[in-house]
Amino acid sequence: MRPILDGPGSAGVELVFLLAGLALAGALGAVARVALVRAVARLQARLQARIPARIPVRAPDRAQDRALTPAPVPQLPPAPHPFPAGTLTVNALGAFIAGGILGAGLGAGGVGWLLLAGFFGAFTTFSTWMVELRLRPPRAALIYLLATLLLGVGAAAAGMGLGSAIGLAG
Amino acid sequence: MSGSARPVAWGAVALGGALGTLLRAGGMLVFPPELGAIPWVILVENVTGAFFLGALTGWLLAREPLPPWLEDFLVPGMLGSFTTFSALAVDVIGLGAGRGAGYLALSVATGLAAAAAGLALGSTRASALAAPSASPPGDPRR
Repeated sequence: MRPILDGPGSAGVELVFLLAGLALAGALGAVARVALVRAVARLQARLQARIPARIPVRAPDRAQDRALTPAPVPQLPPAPHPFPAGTLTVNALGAFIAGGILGAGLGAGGVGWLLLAGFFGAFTTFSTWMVELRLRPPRAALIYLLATLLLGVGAAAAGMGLGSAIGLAG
Repeated sequence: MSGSARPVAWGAVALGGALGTLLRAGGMLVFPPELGAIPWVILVENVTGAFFLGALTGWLLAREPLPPWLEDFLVPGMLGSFTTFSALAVDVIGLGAGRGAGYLALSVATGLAAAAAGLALGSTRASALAAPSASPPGDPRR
């Protein structure tokens, strides 16, 4: 394990510390991911609850007016699969910060492993993205696919650029 | 990530996250990625995770739900952490335009195929086991 961790100490002890650190970083990354995904989902639900009120009600029904009964307020059924904005957020944010860490030259050594493979590896997710794509209708899946490709890879590039700019300045 | 309002068992997510991360990083320690090469280990891990998450999701959509703590441990915890998007995204940039795009396309194509195969396997296994009762409880095609 010499190339992974530099500094004094036996390789076996270093490996144990690395694995313990990875487990802790991964646990924190997973908890942070779930917390952010749920926060985004709550925000999404709150925004979506406001939308029906803003949609103009259909032209008034004359028969309803004469009957003096209030027209039923049109209620949009809840979307069965709301846009996975939470997964997109964690993946783009994680790619941006991971790119920044690499760009700033902090990706090597034990700390780099803990941050990149540990925390941000667990904070972002590929499997959820894939399964969410498969559970969506084709058009919505295509939009989600393109959005993640564009924002996720774009965020990694932006993060790397920013990280190297900071790294050069610092 | 059921999206329901039930509270999340954070300990289960953390434990699953630790295990998923150790499995993923363990693969990278055993087969260290070569600088500038296609990261095959991460590709295989991502695709494998997509298959298992698909299988579990297919099972869960067709059957009674798992105990909440077990679902939190397995779905957002272990499988969510076993796979990674950040490494994929930075490697795509690191590989350069041509090979990076190829690696990205290969990841997405095989990942989608694996998720579909997993979903199909999970739901058919669940239906086969639920066969004695004509209509399983819950909505099988949610």
